[in-house]
Amino acid sequence: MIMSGASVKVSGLAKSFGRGLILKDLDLNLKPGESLALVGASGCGKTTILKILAGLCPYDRGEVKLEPSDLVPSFVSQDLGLYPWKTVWENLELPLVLAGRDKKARNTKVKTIQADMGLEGLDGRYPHELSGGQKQRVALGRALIVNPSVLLLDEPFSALDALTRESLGLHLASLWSGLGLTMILATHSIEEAVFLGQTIAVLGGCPTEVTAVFRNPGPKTPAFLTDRLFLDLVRKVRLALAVTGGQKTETWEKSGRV
Amino acid sequence: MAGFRGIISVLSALGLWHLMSVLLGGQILPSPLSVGRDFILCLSQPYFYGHFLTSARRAAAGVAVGLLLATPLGWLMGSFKKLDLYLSPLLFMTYPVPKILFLPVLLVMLGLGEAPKVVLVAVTVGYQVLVVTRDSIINLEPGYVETFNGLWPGRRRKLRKGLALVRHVFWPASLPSAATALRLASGTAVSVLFMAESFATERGLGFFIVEAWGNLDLNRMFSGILAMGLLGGAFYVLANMAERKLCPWVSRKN
Ligand SMILES: Nc1ncnc2c1ncn2[C@@H]1O[C@H](COP(=O)(O)OP(=O)(O)OP(=O)(O)O)[C@@H](O)[C@H]1O
Ligand SMILES: [Mg+2]
Repeated sequence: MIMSGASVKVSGLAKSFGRGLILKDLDLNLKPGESLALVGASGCGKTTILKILAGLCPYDRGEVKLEPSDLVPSFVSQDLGLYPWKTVWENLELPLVLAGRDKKARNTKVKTIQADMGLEGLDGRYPHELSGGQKQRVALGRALIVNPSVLLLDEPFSALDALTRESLGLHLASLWSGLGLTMILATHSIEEAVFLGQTIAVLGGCPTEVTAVFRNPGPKTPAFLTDRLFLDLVRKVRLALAVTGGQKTETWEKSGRV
Repeated sequence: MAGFRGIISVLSALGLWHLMSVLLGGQILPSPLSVGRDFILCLSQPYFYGHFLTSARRAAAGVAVGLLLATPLGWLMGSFKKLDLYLSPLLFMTYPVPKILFLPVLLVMLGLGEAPKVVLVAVTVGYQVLVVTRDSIINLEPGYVETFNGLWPGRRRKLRKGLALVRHVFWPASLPSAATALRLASGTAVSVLFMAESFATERGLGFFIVEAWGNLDLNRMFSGILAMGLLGGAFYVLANMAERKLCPWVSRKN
């Protein structure tokens, strides 16, 4: 099931909450099928950016353009947003129910997604009866079930232990390249950002701006996690985060536009 | 074990009752044994059944009407701030007023038939359910609605979206607290029903009790009281069962 990703273009985006200016002039640019990782300190506006892209949060100025324009991105929020009153099956099925798909089509699709996400045999469980990793996979599966062309992930693996985190990261990477999705994810984890993002945008400053941009041409395979290129990039991103530490640096080698 | 403890507590309550009846004398407080005997006797009389069924029907109708009106109103007040601004002052001004005070008004407005009794029970139950469903929507995690907005395909079709939101989010989110309110209201509902049935009517357990009281037939009076208690208890148990059935995600947690 190859899907064509969509392009995402954000220009001059500005957003404030009350009197606090969060974003002043943000630009992002993704071609179809690309992945972008946003890293930045807590509170710098990662969630806000993703919600604006998902159409869930109004903004003050600027332009958000998705191409084709009628598409609705799938968004997995930081708290996953699983409904405690719905079972695994019902949570996965919900987007299809809302889209008015018939029972047979829903069953087929849910089974496929369960197989993709390794969620077989959990149909009747409620979210509180799942492990953290299982919850995460349900949320991801629910986002993917509508065959989205843009996937927005807000700290997808933040609540997980390092091992689960890595295996889910690998899983996500293979889904992403298999599906040809355009993907934007926000994360605190530099390793995760470098591994999953083809482009890594470091956010900093107040109001928040893109203070440094890195490209990661490497393959998204387990072997890459120990590759020199990977480790090198991790170091560079870490330095960029430390240097900016909330301040914008003009001197950074690759500072500039995404 | 729990059943054993239950039996112990019921037996000690009956023992206490018996002791009191010995101390006060059977003319004032008949013993549980004699009431029990008369209660069983009553159960075999169509006369008693008629009153019992009348009361049960009124209570059930009142609870149903109260639920059906209060729940959607609670969702509306919880989700539309503008509506809430107008309605909530009215709600909280009238909430502490004992609903039994409406009885004379209802009798004047609705006559002496079934309507005022049913309405009184509906109002009593409705208020409690209204307050908790409204609260459950206001205190709903904003993330639930936001997630829903994210999952809704497209940006239009406002009405269908609203209905789907009620079905998938508001309804299940308010169920557990509505069930609790219903359980709490079951006792109050039966007591206002007693008041409503104790005058200007010749049917219902309230009338049965007052009549027996007038005839100084204490055993009969206590049988009536027992029956009303059972009616309240039945509603409590029903609300409990409904909660288990309708909110498995809550009951499985405990
Ligand atoms: N509804 C709101 N009202 C007022 N301020 C808000 C609101 N939502 C977010 N903010 C503020 O906007 C800023 C950015 O918040 P956001 O949630 O986007 O940060 P974040 O980068 O996702 O942080 P974290 O990594 O901790 O999730 C924060 O300073 C936050 O306090
Ligand atoms: Mg965030």
